[in-house]
Amino acid sequence: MESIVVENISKYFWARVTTSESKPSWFKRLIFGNSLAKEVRVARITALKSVSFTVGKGEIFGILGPNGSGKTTLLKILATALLPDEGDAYICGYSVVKEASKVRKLISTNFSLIVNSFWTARQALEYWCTLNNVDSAEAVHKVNEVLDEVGLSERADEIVARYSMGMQSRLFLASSLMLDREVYLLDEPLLGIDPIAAKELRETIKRKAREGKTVVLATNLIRDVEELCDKVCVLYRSRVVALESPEVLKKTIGAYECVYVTLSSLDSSVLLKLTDFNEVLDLSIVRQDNLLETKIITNDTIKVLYLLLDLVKLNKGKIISIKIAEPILEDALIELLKKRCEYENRETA
Amino acid sequence: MKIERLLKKIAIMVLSDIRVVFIYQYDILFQVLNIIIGIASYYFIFKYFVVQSTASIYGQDPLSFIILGMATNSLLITAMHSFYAAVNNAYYRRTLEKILTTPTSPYVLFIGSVISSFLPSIVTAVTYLAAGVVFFGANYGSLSNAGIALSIPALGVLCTLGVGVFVAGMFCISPMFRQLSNFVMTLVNLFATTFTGALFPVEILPWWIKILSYLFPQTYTIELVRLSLVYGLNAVNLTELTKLILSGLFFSIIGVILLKKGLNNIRKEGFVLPEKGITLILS
Repeated sequence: MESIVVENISKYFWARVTTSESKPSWFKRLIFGNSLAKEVRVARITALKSVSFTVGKGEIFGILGPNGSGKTTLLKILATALLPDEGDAYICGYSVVKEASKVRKLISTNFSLIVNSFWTARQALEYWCTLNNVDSAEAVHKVNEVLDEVGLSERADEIVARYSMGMQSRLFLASSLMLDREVYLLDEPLLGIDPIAAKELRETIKRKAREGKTVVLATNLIRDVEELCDKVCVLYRSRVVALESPEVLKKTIGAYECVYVTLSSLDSSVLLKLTDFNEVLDLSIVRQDNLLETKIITNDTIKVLYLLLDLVKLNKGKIISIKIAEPILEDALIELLKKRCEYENRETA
Repeated sequence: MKIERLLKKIAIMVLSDIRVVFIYQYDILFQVLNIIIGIASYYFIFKYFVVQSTASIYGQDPLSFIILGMATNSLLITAMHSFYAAVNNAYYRRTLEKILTTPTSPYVLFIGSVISSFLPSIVTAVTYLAAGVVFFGANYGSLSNAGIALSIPALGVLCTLGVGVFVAGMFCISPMFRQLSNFVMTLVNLFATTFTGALFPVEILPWWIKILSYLFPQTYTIELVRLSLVYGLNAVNLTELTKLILSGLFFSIIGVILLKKGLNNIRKEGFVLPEKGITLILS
């Protein structure tokens, strides 16, 4: 059963952009100075273009993409804070355009907490419960539970304005997780959170999915996607460029592997000769004391290993260790975006 | 249950704002001092200069005339400005965007903000009236008419809120007006403070300013408060009362229609400022 259906959503914004077409008048330059006097015009910016996908009940769905690719805009449309210019999306069958009030009872977001400058975390969360129609007695219980879950119990009675970025992230996540909803829309939920807490919070998100709740996760942290998501949507320049599971995405982007080699008694310039071969797609070398930590991305591991052995033998180097691994999602994503960029450049040319 | 929940949401907002008012308690003291000094200056002006008083048609001495006008006006200016300020703040501080993702109507946010902004202006109005009587012997009219005179500012506040809703509606519906809104609101506030009869009778104004003055519910309210305190309710007052209600209804109805359409427009346009971190209701 589909929990979220997104059908051909497009969103445009109007924004003022500086233009170099016309020279500002002497009067403007006199008043505002040269830098501020630049002429501006209103331009239409495409935030999302024909985005479609579905998310099943109990799935964790990741939205990945570089900055400005439209991840947050997409989440805000699903959260009914923004209206799409074209298309529609359905949360548990209700349209975000026509039935926003019904959708709002089914969703929970981590980007909506409203806090007064003098409120403590506990007060902010209790107020958030009230705005989301949770009864007072239940709210107290839920707030205590979620504060414990995100590791803020001991600092729950401190003023939120004094919280660090990581603590604010935890509080935002808490505001979302404490509500019992069908769909959780999370924007960068683990940003700035320390690794130990992040690990526990990943477990909490996974538990929500096991309970049959749907989670949509917009993030730049590829590790979160790799570890949490059942399906990933990659946005690039406002369009969907891939919609797969992380595993399939890694495989479809390129059948290549990573070779990690630690070497000693060898100069890095010798290893750079490897880049002359077409089989070596990428090479990175880090020197630590007298060791060379090398990462080679290749589509022919055996040939690269032979080449490497020849080079080491010839230059009287020493191999300390070799490890062969599948590429991580980060490599796959970079490769995908590179290809997309090359394709668009060719099209433009 | 639904109403109880609604009232609770508004009450939490109002209570937290009251808390902020008490954090800045010295501001209240300075405000009171400012009011007393303001009345004192009028008192000494009237004491040492001969005043040709048109105010006598209202049956009051000039000082009482001015104090009543300023006290009523402090409530009315808040009524006109608070709704617009609530929508403006909610838009620019992004609380509007955030509340749109919850089952709570954004009107709850606006109403809570409006109620809390009345608290300081009630204190101001009461201070004007009390300081006038205690320190300067002001006489506002007959005590037997106090009930009617008190209900008129309440009605006036409701009608003037309509102007605020109208301006807030314009703010939401037109991005062009949004950029000019602070400038427009400052002009309107200035006009309403000066030309709606708070400091001098509207009768002495040139005809073209008088026409503008009578567009504002404030003019009828201030006039009615003065007349009803001295003469009670009579035929003249009832005509003015009808005009007040009609002007209030006019602005309210158009304002609500604009606001409803405008909120949808804002969801279409998006929110202009980049945002990350906590949204503060008050700063």
